[in-house]
Amino acid sequence: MDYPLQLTVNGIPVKRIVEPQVRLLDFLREDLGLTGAKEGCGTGDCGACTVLIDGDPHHSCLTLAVEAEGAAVTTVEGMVTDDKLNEVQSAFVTAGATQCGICTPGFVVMATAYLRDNPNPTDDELRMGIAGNLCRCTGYETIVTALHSVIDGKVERIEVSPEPLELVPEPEGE
Amino acid sequence: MRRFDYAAPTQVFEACALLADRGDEARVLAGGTDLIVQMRERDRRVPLIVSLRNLAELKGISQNADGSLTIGAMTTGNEVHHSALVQSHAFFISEGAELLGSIQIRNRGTLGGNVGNAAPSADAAPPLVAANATACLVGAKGTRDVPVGDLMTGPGQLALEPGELIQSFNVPAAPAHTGTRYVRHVPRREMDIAVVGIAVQVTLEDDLATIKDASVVLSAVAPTWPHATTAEEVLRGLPVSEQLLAHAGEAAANDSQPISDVRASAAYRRMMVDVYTRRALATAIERARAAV
Ligand SMILES: Cc1cc2nc3c(=O)[nH]c(=O)nc-3n(C[C@H](O)[C@H](O)[C@H](O)COP(=O)(O)OP(=O)(O)OC[C@H]3O[C@@H](n4cnc5c(N)ncnc54)[C@H](O)[C@@H]3O)c2cc1C
Ligand code: FES
Ligand code: FES
Repeated sequence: MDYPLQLTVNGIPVKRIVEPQVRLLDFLREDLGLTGAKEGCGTGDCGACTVLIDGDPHHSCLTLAVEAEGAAVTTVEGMVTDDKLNEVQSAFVTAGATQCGICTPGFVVMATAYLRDNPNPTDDELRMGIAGNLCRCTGYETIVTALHSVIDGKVERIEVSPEPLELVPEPEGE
Repeated sequence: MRRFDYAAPTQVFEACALLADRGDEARVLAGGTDLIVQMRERDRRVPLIVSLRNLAELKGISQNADGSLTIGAMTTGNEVHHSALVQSHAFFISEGAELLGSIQIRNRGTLGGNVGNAAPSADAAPPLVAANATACLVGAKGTRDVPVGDLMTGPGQLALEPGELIQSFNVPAAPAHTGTRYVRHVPRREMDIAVVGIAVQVTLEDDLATIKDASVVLSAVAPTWPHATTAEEVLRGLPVSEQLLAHAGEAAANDSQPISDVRASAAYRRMMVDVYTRRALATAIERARAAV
C-alpha cells in the first residue's frame, strides 16, 4: 500500500504519494530534488542528513517520510532567506569551513538550530552541541571558528543570486 | 529497506488490536533510532510497522496526586533530559536520557524505545530500574503495571504479552534525603556505547550520615539491568565512609557478569564497575545531603 503524505518543505506545501519504507532523506533528495541533505552513514552516526522537523534537528536517514506527515521540514536550502545565506552559512563561507563539503549541510542545519536555542554557549558546550556531526575531512577547527564568529555577532549575511527554490513537480497522473 | 505496511493509529486500543492480530509480524515504531537501523543493517524483516506517533496517551510528563511521576513512553530523550519535573523528581533519569547519542538522536529516540530495545548497554533504562519505576503496559485486556526491572528478560527480550505495548512509566516519589546519579564509562564523551553504566539512588537517615537505603543498578555488564544486590546490602544501615564505598564498589564488581567484546574485556569492565560504583555513590550522597 502507498500512503498519501502532506507536509511543508521549506515553507512550500507538498502533497505526494509515498511508499512507507521511503526515508525522509530519500523523499527530499529523490522525490523533491532537494539534494542538500546528504547520506553519510545511514545509521544516525554522522549527522550529514540533518534537517529540521518542526524546528528541531532530526536525522532524515532514521525518519520515515510517512512519519513527517503534517510536519514543517526545513532543509539547508530553506535557510536562504531574502536572497541571503543565513549567518551560519555565511560564516562557513567566510571561514572556509568546508573541504569536500559533504558534511556541510548537516553542520549548517544543526548549528543553526543549536545557536538559535543556545546563543551564548561556551566552547565546550558548542562542541558538545555539534557532537552528532562528523567531518570526514576533519575540518573541525575551522567549523568551530566559523560558529564562534556567529556567536560573536561578527557575521554579515552573504547575498546570493535570487534563484527561486523549486521542487520537482508532482508526477503526472497522481 | 524492505517494503512493509504501515499504520499510525490514533487510539491505543487500535494499536493493540493491530499488534495482537499480526503477532510476530508487527513491530511498534517510536523514534526509530534503534529499529530503523536494525531493519537496514540487519535486513530485519518487519511486515507491519505500527507507529506510536499519534497516540496522545503515550506522550508527556506529569506529577500525580501521590507524588509519583508519570512519563509517557513516547517522551523523547531531549524532553526527558530537559524536564524540570524529572530533574527535581529523580535527577538521574534526566542524566541517563542526556547520554542518548546526539541532540538529533535525542529529538527522535524515546524513553519507551530505550526500554523497548532492551539493550544491556542502555543508558536511559537503568535509572528507571534503580528508582523502582513501573511500566504501565496496555493491551487488549486493559493495563497492568510491571516493575521496569522485571520487564527485560535478556538482550532484546521483553516480558510483553502479544499485543501489549508500553504506555508510560511511573516513578514513585523518593523519600526525603535521597540523591541519585547515573554515570557511564565510555572511551569517547558522546556518541558511544557504555562500557559500564551505573545508576544509583541513595537515601540517607535524618543525620545525613547513615545510609538508610541504596539502589545500585548496572548497565552493560550483564544480560539485563540487574540490581547489584550484594552492594546494596553492604551499604544499608551503615555510616558513610570511604571504606564503605570501597566495599560497595567491590561488591558491585562481584555482582556484575560482564562479557568481553570489542569495547572492553570482562576483567576491565569488572574493575570499572568498582570505580564507577564508588564515584556514583559519592555523587548521589552529596546530592542527597544538598537536597535536605
Ligand atoms: C547514533 C546512535 C547513538 C546512540 N547512542 C545511544 C546511547 O548512547 N545510549 C543508549 O542507551 N542508546 C543509544 N542509542 C540507541 C537509541 O537511540 C535509544 O535506545 C533510543 O532510546 C531508542 O528509542 P526509539 O524511540 O528511537 O526506539 P525505536 O527504534 O522506535 O524502538 C526500539 C525498540 O523498542 C520497541 N518499542 C519502542 N517503543 C515501544 C513501546 N512504547 N512499547 C513497546 N515497545 C516499544 C520497538 O518495537 C523496537 O523494538 C543510539 C542510537 C544511535 C543510532
Ligand atoms: S546519514 Fe543520517 S546520520 Fe549519517
Ligand atoms: S568537509 Fe569533508 S566531510 Fe567535512
